[in-house]
Amino acid sequence: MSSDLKYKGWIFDLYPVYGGMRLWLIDAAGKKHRLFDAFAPSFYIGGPAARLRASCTFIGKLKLPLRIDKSEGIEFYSGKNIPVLRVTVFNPLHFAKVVQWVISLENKKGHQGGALALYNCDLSLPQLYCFTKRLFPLAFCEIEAESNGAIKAIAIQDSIWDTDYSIPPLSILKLRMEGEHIRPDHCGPRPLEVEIEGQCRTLEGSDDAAIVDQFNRILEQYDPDLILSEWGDPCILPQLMQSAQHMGRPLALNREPNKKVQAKKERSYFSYGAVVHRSAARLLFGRWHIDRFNSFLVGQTALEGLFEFARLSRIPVQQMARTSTGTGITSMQMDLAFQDGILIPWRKREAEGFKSASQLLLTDKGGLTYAPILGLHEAIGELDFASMYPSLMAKYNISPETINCTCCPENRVPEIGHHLCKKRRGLVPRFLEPFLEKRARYKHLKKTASDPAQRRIYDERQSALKWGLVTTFGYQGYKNARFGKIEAHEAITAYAREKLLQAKEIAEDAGFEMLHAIVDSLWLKQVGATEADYEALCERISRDCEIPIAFEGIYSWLLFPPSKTNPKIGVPNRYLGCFQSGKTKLRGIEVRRGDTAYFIKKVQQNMIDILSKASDAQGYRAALPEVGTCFEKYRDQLRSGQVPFFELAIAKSLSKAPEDYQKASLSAIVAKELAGRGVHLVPGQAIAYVITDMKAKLPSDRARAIGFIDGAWAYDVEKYESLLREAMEVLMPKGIHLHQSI
Amino acid sequence: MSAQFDFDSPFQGPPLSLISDAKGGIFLFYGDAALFGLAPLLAGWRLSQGERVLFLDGDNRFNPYPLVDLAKEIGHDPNTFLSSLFVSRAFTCHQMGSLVLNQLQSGITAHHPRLVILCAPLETFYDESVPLIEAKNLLLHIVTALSQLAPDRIFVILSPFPKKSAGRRTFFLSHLKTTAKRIFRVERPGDASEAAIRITEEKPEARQWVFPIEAPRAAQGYR
Ligand SMILES: [Zn+2]
Repeated sequence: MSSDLKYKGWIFDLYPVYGGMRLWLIDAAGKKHRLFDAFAPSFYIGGPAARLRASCTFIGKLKLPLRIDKSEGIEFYSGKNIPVLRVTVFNPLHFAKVVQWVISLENKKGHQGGALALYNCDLSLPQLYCFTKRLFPLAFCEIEAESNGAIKAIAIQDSIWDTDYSIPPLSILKLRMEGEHIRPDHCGPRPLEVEIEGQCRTLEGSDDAAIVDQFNRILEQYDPDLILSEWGDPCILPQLMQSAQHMGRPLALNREPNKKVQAKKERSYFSYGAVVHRSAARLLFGRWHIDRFNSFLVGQTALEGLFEFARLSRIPVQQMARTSTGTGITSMQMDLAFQDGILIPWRKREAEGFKSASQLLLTDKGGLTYAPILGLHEAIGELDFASMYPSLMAKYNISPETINCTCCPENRVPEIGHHLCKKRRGLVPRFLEPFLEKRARYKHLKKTASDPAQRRIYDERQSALKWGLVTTFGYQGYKNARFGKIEAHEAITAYAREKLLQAKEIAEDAGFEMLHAIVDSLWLKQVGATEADYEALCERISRDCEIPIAFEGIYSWLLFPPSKTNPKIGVPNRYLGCFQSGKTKLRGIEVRRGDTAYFIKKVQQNMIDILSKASDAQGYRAALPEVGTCFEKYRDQLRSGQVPFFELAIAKSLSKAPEDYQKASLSAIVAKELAGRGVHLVPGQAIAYVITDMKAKLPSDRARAIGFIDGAWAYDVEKYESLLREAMEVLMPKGIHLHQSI
Repeated sequence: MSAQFDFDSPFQGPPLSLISDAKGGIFLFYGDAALFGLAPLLAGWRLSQGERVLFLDGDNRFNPYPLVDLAKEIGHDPNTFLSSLFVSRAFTCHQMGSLVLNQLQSGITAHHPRLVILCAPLETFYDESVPLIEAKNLLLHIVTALSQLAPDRIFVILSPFPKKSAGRRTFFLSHLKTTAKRIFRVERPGDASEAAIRITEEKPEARQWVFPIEAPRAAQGYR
């Protein structure tokens, strides 16, 4: 039949519908095409034969269109083929129900004869579809379809490993509340603001119905592909939808007709020792909604980083925006496993093997640190092992299924007694090789691109990949990952300690003095050493350590400030320095901290700008009086009461629910104030407040939520002045107490 | 049992006198942070007898240093203590499930412990990303498995008060209570000095003890 249609464009959105997947394509002209691809997803069940037979009967009771047949797959840890049942569900909308049904069988009391093991069952349907059809979000492809939109063939003309891919032309509507970026339910009412095609307008109306109508008209008129909001997930969209429902007004947020906006519940969980909060989410169909304050990736790397991750992980853009880079990386590993016929185990089940407390002391040491030599230094070189943990995993084949294998006991990990497989290449190292290589290519492209816009894009993409590596394979993340195992993490840190020690010895052997070292970085000094000397040292270390170390640069000056609690010792990874290039590098001081008031950050940055003009330690000291003048200027501004509240707001993440706080910390006071105003707060959520009177007898007078503070309140001048003073003092080398004269 | 220790032995009196006569059974201690001060004392009690002890950790609470202090204090070799206590950590409730349902038996076969400590096992079950029903069923499996293993050895469960934000999952503690032979509530009394612990027996009898806990420096030890 020649009535078939051909489309060329980018895969924009993907979600399950009756009998298959809806696929939205955007072509080069920006035109949207709504297509359909039949799809019957499968999952697998393993376990003793008797239990498998029983589960067949049990699934049959569901009376849903599905097929169960015998199949086999590779068990991840052993690498061996095992017999399994394959359950193919003909309508993807039934998939979750069938899986839950099987899980409920497993949860039934009194079942006998060993546990069932489920595989490939907790992948999302778009992921399963992409894994099966080798597609990915934003892929450029050619699609052949019938006139009703039913897809006959898809030809991908793109690869996830490409670095010079293009993005479809997207029309973007920006949605936020007028004024500052305060979360809408943490302050009083403000009007909605919409920006599209470069025009910004405030939605005004006598009542909610008028606002909903205006917004709906804008959606109809412009038909945006992306609604990019600020607080759209927890506040704006739910509010608009609620108003529309109450008033019986239409609100066409979705492009897909007859489909409700998907609401995901908020949740709090532990990650890296802190409570993290994910806002409730509002996801659209056929159109994207991204809340830039509810997306780690967008916050860190803008949309480019998000697109890069969605492509690599095969997770649709809206979902990727709201998940962690760790989940994205896990998805990439699952895809690799899927391609190999490895059965993807459901949930991470294996706990750590029993080890004696003395073994634990040995293996659980983490990274190696040498405390910094305090004070102001000059002509210091910094060397960093690039992506050290992932490089070690790739180099030494460290992966959950290769650690302590049954075949290679002689291939020992230094110091801790584990061993690694030499016969089977691990899943994690195999995933890491192209990933690390892609990041290296972006870094190179960023350096060589002549167009600044293109440079920025490459930088955002490489930065997204960097965040993926840091959060997944960092000091904390790897232990809990799906394809993580504590013993593998211990092997990595053992190698890392060995490499850092080795690097230190090589450097000292070459006549360098080490001032500080932490996990994967070293700060070295040698009078008269040139860049070429450092490069030569890097080459030697890279060769001997077998993983690459890079030369960051030579600092004109570098200050390691003392600990606030003990002036005799330094704090690892807390310093400020200025490279000979003029670029500053700051770690652990106020400007870098999320809980520093904007005003303090601004002033400290001003002071650092003054100091960054110095080309050595002497110049640094000579610039200190100017820093003092800067301090006086802003201190006077503080004292005059002229600093706006917004600049003094301190943001904190709640470690507990308001009712769980025992002591009257400022966070607790403000959390209770907000809770008293009916604001719903959960652990991990951020609040912001202004300190009003630190010494007030009544706790509620000590600080107020930024969103509700008004002219009846004043900020605590004394407290902010002391914070400002601290921000200045950290810049003062030992022995210099400029503030005493101020 | 306690008669064999010196008069000023840290193992005299509660909490150990509360369990030392038992051949086996599940003993639940629940309460505030003071609870974790009991762990080195409990472990040291059996380690000092040359036995091995298993420690199942649901909240990454294990800290070896108070145990080292205790060993030194009672004249034992700290290294022997450390090499005779076996730890496994679980970071998710599914791992905790796998630990109790699959790995525990092989740990028991290998080390023959008379005492098994479960530290904060419920913490992993408060994770809201696991559906309530699934978490509950898994917990019930664990409880059943423990009660099957309990006649021959002592299981001490140290379970902190559920956080208010645990919401509906606060009732998970009651599943542990049903299975326990004896239940003790452990608190740092508000009116007493820092170094005291109050233990209140809830099941089978209602009794109360307040005693100093500075001896093994346990109070400082656990995070
Ligand atoms: Zn091997």
